[in-house]
Amino acid sequence: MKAGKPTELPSSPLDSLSPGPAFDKASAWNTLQQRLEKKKTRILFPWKWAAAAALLICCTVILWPSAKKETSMVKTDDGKKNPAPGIQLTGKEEKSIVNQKEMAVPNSPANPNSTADFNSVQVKMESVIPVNEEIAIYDSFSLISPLSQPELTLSAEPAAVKKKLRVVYNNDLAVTDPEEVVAAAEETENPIPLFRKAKLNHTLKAENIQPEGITPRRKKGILFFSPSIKPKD
Amino acid sequence: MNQEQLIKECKQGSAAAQKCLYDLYADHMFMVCRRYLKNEADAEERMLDGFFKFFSHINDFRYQGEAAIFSWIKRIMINECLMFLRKKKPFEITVETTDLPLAVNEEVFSKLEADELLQLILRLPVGYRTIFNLFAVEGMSHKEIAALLKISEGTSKSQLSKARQLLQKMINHENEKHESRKAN
Repeated sequence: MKAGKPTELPSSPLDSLSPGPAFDKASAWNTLQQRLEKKKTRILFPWKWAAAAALLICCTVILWPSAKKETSMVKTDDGKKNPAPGIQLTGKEEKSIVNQKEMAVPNSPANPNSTADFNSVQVKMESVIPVNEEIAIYDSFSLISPLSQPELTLSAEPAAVKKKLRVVYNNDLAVTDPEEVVAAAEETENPIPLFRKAKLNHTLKAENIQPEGITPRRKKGILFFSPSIKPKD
Repeated sequence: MNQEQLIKECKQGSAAAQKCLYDLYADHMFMVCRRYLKNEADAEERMLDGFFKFFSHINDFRYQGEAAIFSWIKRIMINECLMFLRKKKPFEITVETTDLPLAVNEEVFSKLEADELLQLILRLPVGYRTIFNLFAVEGMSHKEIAALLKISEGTSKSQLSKARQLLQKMINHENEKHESRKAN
């Protein structure tokens, strides 16, 4: 039924009859009035909720940045408490380890499926003191953290490939003296000493470092080597 | 205070105006609900629901005379009763599209007093009673009844004819009783 368009429902003689004593008009009105008053209070109710929600949103917006700061502090503390083995954190407290993942040795006998993530540990240069220790290496490029494989660093096998290397955890960050590195590389029995020289000592000229048997490819004026690296037995 | 003014005050939320309107129409509306529902408590509850809806939606109402108010409130009450009955599923009636022959003497109904007729109507089954009320008392067409109750027009017609036959039987039975009492 639509308001304003009343259908013709005339009063019939049956409707004019007396309802009888069973119908208590006054008590029925009281019930009706209570329901109407309840409805009025219900109308006000959403405004209270809306005000509460607005207040909550304001509080969240105000407190959000401080909460974020607290979270970052906690992360920094965790990093200090559990530094990666083999890395000594020194000096200033501002240096932090972010998103530290477990570094593992790829293609190692104990853990063949693991992947090494050399960028996962981001340590500022001054905070790292490379640890001199003898470690087992199966490939000249598989730089190893003894984190997951401590027994490898101590084990004597295979003795043939055991080399004395300086451990560098991140080549980009931990740049040491190039001459020192070149000297260290020459000490080892590296199959591609010239490659290392070319990479680490940029002052060398191409004609001086070109090894026999390896033909350099020119690519936009830059010497580019693609040597195959195999450990020497 | 006339009814137009009462409606205006009701729109402003005046409890006194609401009480006045309630006092005016409560008896009538209770009897409307009573015609549809056998139980008096149910009738009273539906009447209160109807008044609650009326006062809640009174802002949508445009005053067009006293008859319009009465008609609007009555329609609300009837809808409330039908909704209540629908919840109980009384309209699960076997569909009979064929019209039964109407062998009803209309004079029988005209001789009855309103009170007697109400008692007889209340003795009818729910489906018969509803359709008889809508057709014979409210003056709706079978099409309107069919749309309102979500049944076919044929069902409405057959239910009405059955209701009439049953009423006539009841009236004859009552007359026989009355005559036998007189004879004794």
